[in-house]
Amino acid sequence: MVDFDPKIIAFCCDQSGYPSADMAGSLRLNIPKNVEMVRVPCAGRVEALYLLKALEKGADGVVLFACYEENCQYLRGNLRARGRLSYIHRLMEKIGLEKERIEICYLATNSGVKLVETLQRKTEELKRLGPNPCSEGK
Amino acid sequence: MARIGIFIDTLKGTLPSSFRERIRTTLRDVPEVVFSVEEDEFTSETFERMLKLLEHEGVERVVIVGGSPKLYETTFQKLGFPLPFNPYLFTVANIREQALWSSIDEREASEKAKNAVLKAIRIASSLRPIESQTLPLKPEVLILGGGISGISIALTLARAGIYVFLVERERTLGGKVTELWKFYNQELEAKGWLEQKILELRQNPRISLLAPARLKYLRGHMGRFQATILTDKGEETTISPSAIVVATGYRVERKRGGIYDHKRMVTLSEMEKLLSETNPPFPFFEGKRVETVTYLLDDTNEDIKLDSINALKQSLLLQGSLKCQVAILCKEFKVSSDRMERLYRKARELGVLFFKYEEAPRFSLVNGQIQVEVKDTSILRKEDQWSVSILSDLVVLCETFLPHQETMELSALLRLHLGKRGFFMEDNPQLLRVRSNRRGIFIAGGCRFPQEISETLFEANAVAQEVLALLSKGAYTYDLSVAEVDPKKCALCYTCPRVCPHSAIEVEKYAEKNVYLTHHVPENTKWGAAKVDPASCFGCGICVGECPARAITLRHYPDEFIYIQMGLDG
Repeated sequence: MVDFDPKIIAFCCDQSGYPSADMAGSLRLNIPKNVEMVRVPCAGRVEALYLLKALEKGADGVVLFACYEENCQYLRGNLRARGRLSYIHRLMEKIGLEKERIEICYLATNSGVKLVETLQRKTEELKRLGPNPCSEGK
Repeated sequence: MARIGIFIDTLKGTLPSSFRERIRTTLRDVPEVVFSVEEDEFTSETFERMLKLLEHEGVERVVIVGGSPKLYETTFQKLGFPLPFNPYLFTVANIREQALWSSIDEREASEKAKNAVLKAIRIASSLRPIESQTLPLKPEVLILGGGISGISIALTLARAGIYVFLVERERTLGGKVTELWKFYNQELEAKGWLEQKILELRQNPRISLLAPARLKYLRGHMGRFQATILTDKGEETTISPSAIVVATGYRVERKRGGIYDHKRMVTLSEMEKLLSETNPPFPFFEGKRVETVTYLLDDTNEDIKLDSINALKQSLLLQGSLKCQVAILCKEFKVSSDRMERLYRKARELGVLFFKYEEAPRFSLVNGQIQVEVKDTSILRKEDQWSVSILSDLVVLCETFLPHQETMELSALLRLHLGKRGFFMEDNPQLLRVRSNRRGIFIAGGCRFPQEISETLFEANAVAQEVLALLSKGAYTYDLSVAEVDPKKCALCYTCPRVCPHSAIEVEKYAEKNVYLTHHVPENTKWGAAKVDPASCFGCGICVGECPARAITLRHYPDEFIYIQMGLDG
């Protein structure tokens, strides 16, 4: 197994994921440096296309940080995000990509610890899975 | 090339100078950056300095390098936006929480910070100004439902100079309060009090009462609603209120079947009626004196405290002046209302018996009376718990609270969300209890959750305040930081109107062109396309993410920004 630094793109909902990342900083927890934080107004804003593009352009994994069910400021954004994710999972299965590469994680505003733990676990998981085979130039 | 000014916030010195120096070294190589200045904190004096510098350099885009964007957003909301140009032309690079504090060493931190600053500069150069618009609001409100909340909201609004249309489906006003005899917390007959309010309502020139009538259609959005009201005579009236209050109430249903159909099993509201007709010293039921009364609570509505309140109110009277023996069977007795603790203690002093049950009590008929057998679990030690059998003349049941039959229909008409039980759902149960998912529509009273009258009145006040706050300025100003449909790309799939959580999207005929059309069409034809009402849009971007034709853009958060943050641009 090649030792590599998996690149993760983390979509952070402005209501839960982003404040959690700030909280993680205030708690002096280490957010892995291979993570790109993307601030989005709501998890429902994340298009299916972004998730696929992320994989296409070289990310090894994607995490979607959304609010807990029934906790969305826009009422149903997290449910839409979850729906889109299961659609993406079906697509990934069809093209033979491990669906563990994309996951959704539910957070509250103050879940800094959970955010960091998820990212660290994800990094380990991706190290086990190996580099993303479908990224461009590979 | 965009000209960008950079303000590095030292956050009262929490960013070390060596770290800041490294950022500034990075910035020297970026051609867009006109200047970078350090500030200790953002106060009104800082803003004045910033203003002068920006005007002097002719810079219109600002990147603030420092803490969390949320910090600056709240500061700017508090102090007002300081810059002489559009408030959407600034962006924040978060290098404290998400770089300095969340890294192992300073080298990693400066890598992360450099990345964040460069991304922020790229975002800043593609920022576009977003203008604001004003929607005039007429002081006209439609209230659906002439129950106690509808009446009190109408009165409060009319007093403040707002014209109110009150639509009630029944011939009589008052709703559930007409069944009430007395309040639990004040010595007042409900009937007289209600009549006084209705009289006031009928005399008020600003309130037009439409009863019996119902809402037939609703079109449009906040400020431009078009409501068609159908009266029972078949007449249709169309009104255009600025805001709508839904206060349609709830209905109750009693348990049926078996012993529950026995005439000595009465409901709380039947008991209320019996008490209002009772002349002291004794209550009579079908010509016979009533000596023992048993209340059974919490068998249908476990989380509604209305039953506890009414049962306590009635039992105080029965046990006190009417010389009865009252027993109350409950799972938990809810005293979390004004003065309820005191009344509960008073009831215990008078001799009302309280039993706590877990298994449902059993009822049987003994000589025309009802025998109630219940295992009392108020003692925690299992061995000491004992079964009680109470022979009672009357057993009082509570009714199940259900949403009104029309609630479902109304929610489709108004495009409001329903909660799990079928009552109207509030926007946020803690913070925005009286707002619905649509801007400009408010919910009040029992159609959201059945409550005690004093609490309903509080809520009615809250609704009236919200409506007044909205209408008092005469106009609603909003930023166009909303979703926008490109009409010629719209394929009319009706996905966005379905997914919009705030029902801000509708299909209208307004598109000049349609890219899916291949054959020749006469000029000046208007095509149907989805349209977002900017005043009702909350800017969440759910429709943007869902549109299969990618015809919708979020004006303040385009695809570009997300790609930049993902590190995928260029």
